[in-house]
Amino acid sequence: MTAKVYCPDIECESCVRLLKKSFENVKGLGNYSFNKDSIDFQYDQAFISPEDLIKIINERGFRASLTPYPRKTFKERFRDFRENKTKYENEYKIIKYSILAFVLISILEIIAYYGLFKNYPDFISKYLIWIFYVNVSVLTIGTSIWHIKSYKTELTSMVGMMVGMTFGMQTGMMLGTIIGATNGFFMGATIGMLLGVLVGFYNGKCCGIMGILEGLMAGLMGGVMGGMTGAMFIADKIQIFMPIFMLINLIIMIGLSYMLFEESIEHNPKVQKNKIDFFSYFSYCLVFILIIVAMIIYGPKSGLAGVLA
Amino acid sequence: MKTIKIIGIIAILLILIFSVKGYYSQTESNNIQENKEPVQIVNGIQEVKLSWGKLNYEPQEIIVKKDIPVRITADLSRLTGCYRSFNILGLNIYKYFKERDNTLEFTPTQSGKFRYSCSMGMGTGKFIVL
Repeated sequence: MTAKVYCPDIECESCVRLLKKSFENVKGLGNYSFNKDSIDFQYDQAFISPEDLIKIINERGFRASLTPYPRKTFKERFRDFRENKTKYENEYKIIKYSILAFVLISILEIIAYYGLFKNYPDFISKYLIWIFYVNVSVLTIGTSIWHIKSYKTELTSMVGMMVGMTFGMQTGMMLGTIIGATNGFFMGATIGMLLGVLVGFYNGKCCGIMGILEGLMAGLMGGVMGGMTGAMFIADKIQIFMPIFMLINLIIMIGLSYMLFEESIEHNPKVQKNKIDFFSYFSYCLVFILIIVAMIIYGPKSGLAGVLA
Repeated sequence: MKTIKIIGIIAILLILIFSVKGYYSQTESNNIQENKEPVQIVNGIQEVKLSWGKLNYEPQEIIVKKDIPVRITADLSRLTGCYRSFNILGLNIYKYFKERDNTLEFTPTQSGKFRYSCSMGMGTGKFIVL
């Protein structure tokens, strides 16, 4: 007998090797061949059934089915998102929570400004826009992390590497650029690199050493590059550059969440929804924003940022 | 999860307490008066010599008077590479100094403290208009 088992998570040689190992010594299994999104099996139905093969593949953390996995286009996904509120319950909550957190943190910052920094010379012109960018960056990264954590699922190595890399790079780039512009190259590169490495490691560790290394390297690169970009761009038209830069970063983080949904959540019978707790999410974001803003205001300033500090 | 919630509550309380305390104890900050002499005026022009000091531009502070023309002459034997690309941020002044064109003339019409730098912001200094 022959069977075609659809397995869309086969991404690299490592996946193939892992599955081949699982098929060793399976009684009744004949020849098999790997295709792009599927595996063709020859088997003896007296010993094994296609359902057993699916089970073996599932045990290795891959999705498998006898019918092909349909892929939605972006338009179809968006329509589904608008019409199917129960399915996208977590996403709706996350969007609501991030807007609410942004509003609450902005209110706290306004209170802090009137209480602490009203008489600080040129505070608004020096820091307002940068604190806004810090809020946007931290909330974007925090929301994306929360989106991943809101599902209990296993990620393949390739998706995990992508997650580690995107988080490390985006954190380093966004925060490094902001701190580089306000405090100079030293603070921008150092803090951007440390935050990038921390967030890259935290998110990459879901997929072992490959994800961790990818996260660390991307954090290191993003942080140093971000610090340099901010420190050097301040001498040019940074006020025009920043909104475009932040918008692209925002699109990348939304893209990451979209990719995760497509690759690991949709059509995955093993996926479970976790409870999302607003106050924990809010607290994490607030604490990170506070630390970063305090470093921007009170931290050492060098280079062009330090001239009038 | 519990710990981060407690940290979050402490952070909110600290912001509120310090803000209220700070609001009632704020005093008007005094502006520190610049007590430095502006550059010399020769034939009605404020002459500035721009060179390279210790790992940065020299002088680090250029102090000029408002509404009097300024001429910045670059010492190109000391200023090399992209340090010849000179900007005064906030005054929209830009000049790339060349061997046959090493001076920049303009009249500052706006007083205040500005930053001057090369185009990448690696060489920096203060430009003060009194």
